[in-house]
Amino acid sequence: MSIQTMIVDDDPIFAMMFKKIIARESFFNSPKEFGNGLLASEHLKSTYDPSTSYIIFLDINMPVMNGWEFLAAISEFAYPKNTLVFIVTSSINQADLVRSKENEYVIKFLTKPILSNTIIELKKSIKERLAD
Amino acid sequence: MKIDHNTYRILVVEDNPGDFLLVEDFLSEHLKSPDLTHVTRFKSARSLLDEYPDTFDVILLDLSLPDIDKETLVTEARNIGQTIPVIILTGYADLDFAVKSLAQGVSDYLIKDTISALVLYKSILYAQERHRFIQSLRESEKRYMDLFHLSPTPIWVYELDTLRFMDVNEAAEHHYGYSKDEFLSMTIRDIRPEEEIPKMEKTVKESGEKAIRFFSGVFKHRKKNGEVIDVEITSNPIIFGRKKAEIVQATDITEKLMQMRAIEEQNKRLRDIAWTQSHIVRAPVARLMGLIDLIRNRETDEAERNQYLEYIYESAEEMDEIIRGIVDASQTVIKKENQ
Repeated sequence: MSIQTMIVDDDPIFAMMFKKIIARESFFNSPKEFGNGLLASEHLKSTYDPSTSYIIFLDINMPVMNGWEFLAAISEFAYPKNTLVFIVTSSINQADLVRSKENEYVIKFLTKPILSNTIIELKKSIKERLAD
Repeated sequence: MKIDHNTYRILVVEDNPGDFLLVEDFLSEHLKSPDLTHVTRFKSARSLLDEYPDTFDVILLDLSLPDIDKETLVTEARNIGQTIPVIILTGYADLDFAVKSLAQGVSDYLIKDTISALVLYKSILYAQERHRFIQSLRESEKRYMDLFHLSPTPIWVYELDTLRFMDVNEAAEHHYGYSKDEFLSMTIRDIRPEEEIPKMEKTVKESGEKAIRFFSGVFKHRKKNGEVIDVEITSNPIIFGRKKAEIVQATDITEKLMQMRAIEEQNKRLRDIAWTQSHIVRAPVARLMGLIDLIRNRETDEAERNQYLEYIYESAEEMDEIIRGIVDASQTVIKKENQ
């Protein structure tokens, strides 16, 4: 089973830090970076393979296409079973959290900063889910 | 013979001494103590009434007096009759005048040759009762007219078929700038901006046909000076001068609406600030925390550390800019508030 990791965030410094943090876990091999939802959804659509598992770290507040719009866009072709979305945002807005719970792709709502130990727990929960 | 013990203060205006004696005689038959004042000229009666307006309960007035013609006397009698009941004493020859005087507000007329003590007594009694009744009716009518005319809110009545104003109160004159005469030559179309007329006509048709009670709605009106105002209308059907009409109360809510809009705008600005707080401000803070975490918990070489410090500085600068933005936005809110 192949795993494809995607980072969708318009903040390059965050993307750099996040890559450093997950670099130690070979589990998230060679993550792909996207500066907004549109670039990410177009890439996913053109390369989507139902037998691949996609782990997507998704920011909400982005130019061109934001995180919510991205989720709406991929709902036309991606299955929630192999498309696991983690919202990663600096927002601590309750409304965003509630909205994320209602989305079938979203596994977890993470608030920045993402620290090293968060990733270890994250990996565990992803493995459990994929094993289901 | 029944004797009335009440005191009656009676002014008798009679130039014929014989007739006066007769009247005096008749009165004493039924009244215990008639308080009589006798004058022989209208002029004297007039000046007595002017000087002591509340002295008399009833006036017995001879129609043929030497100092005034009958025509004028009837008019005068009518004026006096507004405040004191007047009974006209007359001969057969002046019957026409006497009848006419009744229509003008005189209480009664008695033909001298047919007067008896009882007739005179009854006439006085009835005149007083009727006068009291009319007086209270007038007061009640005035009270209700005052409710309309002195109401601080503009009120008017318009005819449903023609949309013409049938009556307006002082507040309407004052608020819209048209005089009552101007209003009465206008229709309710004339106090609206062009573009509001179709909406008004539709509403009038609907509420008028169904005779909706307590209709209310918000409309735009135009004053005489061209100013357009927002008004809250409440109206009720009414029959006015035998025509189907609506009575309308119009409350100017222009200022209230403006205040509401200002508050809504203000709320939007505050929501924007709150949104910025949660989405924009936290971004560089989260980045700073992440960067510090990297430096603390990872092995880094000097080049990396310098790079991270550069990022830390950039994030701090970004935050500084965001905070300035918030301060500016807050000041706009405060400025608007002070206006």
